[in-house]
Amino acid sequence: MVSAAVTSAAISNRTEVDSDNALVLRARNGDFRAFEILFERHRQLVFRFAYQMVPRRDDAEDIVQEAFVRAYQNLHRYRDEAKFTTWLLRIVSNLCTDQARMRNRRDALEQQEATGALIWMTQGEIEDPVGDLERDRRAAVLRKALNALPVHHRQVIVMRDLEEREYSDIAEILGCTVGGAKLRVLRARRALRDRVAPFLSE
Amino acid sequence: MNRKREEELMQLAFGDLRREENGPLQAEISTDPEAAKTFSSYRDMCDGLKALRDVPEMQLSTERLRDAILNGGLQPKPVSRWNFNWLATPIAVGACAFVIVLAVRKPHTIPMPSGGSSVAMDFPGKTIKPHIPMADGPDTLFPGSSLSSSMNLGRGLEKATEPTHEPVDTSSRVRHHAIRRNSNSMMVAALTTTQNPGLAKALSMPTQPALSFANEKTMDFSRKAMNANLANMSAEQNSPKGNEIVMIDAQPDAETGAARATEVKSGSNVVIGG
Repeated sequence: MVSAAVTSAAISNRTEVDSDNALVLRARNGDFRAFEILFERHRQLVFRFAYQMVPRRDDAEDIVQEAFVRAYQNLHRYRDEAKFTTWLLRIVSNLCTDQARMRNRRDALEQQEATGALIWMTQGEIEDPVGDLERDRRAAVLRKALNALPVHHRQVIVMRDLEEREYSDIAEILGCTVGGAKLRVLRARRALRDRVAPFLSE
Repeated sequence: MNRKREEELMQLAFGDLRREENGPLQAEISTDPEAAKTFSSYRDMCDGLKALRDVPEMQLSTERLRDAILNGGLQPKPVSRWNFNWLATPIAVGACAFVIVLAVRKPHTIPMPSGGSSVAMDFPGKTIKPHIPMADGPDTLFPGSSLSSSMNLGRGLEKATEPTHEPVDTSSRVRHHAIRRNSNSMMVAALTTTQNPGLAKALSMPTQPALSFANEKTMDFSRKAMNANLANMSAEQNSPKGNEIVMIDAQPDAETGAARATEVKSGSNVVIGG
């Protein structure tokens, strides 16, 4: 039964992939509606990744829009053997990297702290306020530390530990081997732990 | 704790290890306080990252994307069905080599038979290759550029017909250009491309004195091989029988001032000089 389920999922995934490729082909030929379908299908995935990289909604939406504009302009470069989502996330990753290098991280962190504090005071389960506070504190510490990581560390943490992407997908997005992707994730986690360990151990 | 052990504890905390690899590490965690602390820190970090997975709802609409793309005049770039980009380099190299070969080629020579005869005969077992300067000069009918162009007309040259073994007086030196002609109009058109429209016009008119002289002097050629230069020019061409060669005399006709043309049946044993 497990094998049948796996096969069914594989077929379903394959159908999904084929459908994306068919839409790309139509979009290349000028069918903008096909591209809109691709956008509606994958925009949340792209937004999630962009938001984790630049945790401000408006910045993340700008990145999403720019990513799809670039994808539309470069549909001729998309090769059918790769998944469309992988190709799309590569574009987003590059955009996030570019933005992280340009913006002033200190101002973004201060803004994030203010936003996080506001959320901390207004949200949380009533039954266990102390636990909520502790959980939120940890989350805020992690978010702060994650934003402070270099972009090449942050993106692999986001892809692996937040978005739960397979190492093969990460390798394809980054343009490296699976072993290289695993090594990058390893180093990123170590760098993040060095930043948060003093705070999480309190 | 060494780095490798720390990496294994990290992978265990994040669930990257296979089940069979967990056992030894679990045992170490239970006995080694440092290993336990390391594992705990990574475990807390993993749990904390899971809590960061929630993101707010996106407010970017399809209309906004459409405006950004369509109103911006963006279009998907066409996919080239045939990608010949890889041909650019070898084509460029070939073109440069071709230019270099043309530049270093030696000029060909054409025999100058007596009395304005337009052919040089190849005696059986004997090859005559008299030198006739064909470069720019006072006696040259064609400038060098047109010569090269006319030489290129070798595309239209055909294999020689069967020549006979008859001698030709080659004592006189007359400069000729041998042009294989399939039709008079073709020759005129070809000569026009050689930037010598005057000659083309002259050749389009029958020159009676030249033709009669040619009739006297036209001879059959032997089967033996032509001059190597002419052979090179016609090597790649098919050879329907009956096509004549028109030899253009460098000296214009004294009476009419037009160029003197001589027809020969075959291009065998015709030496072309330049």
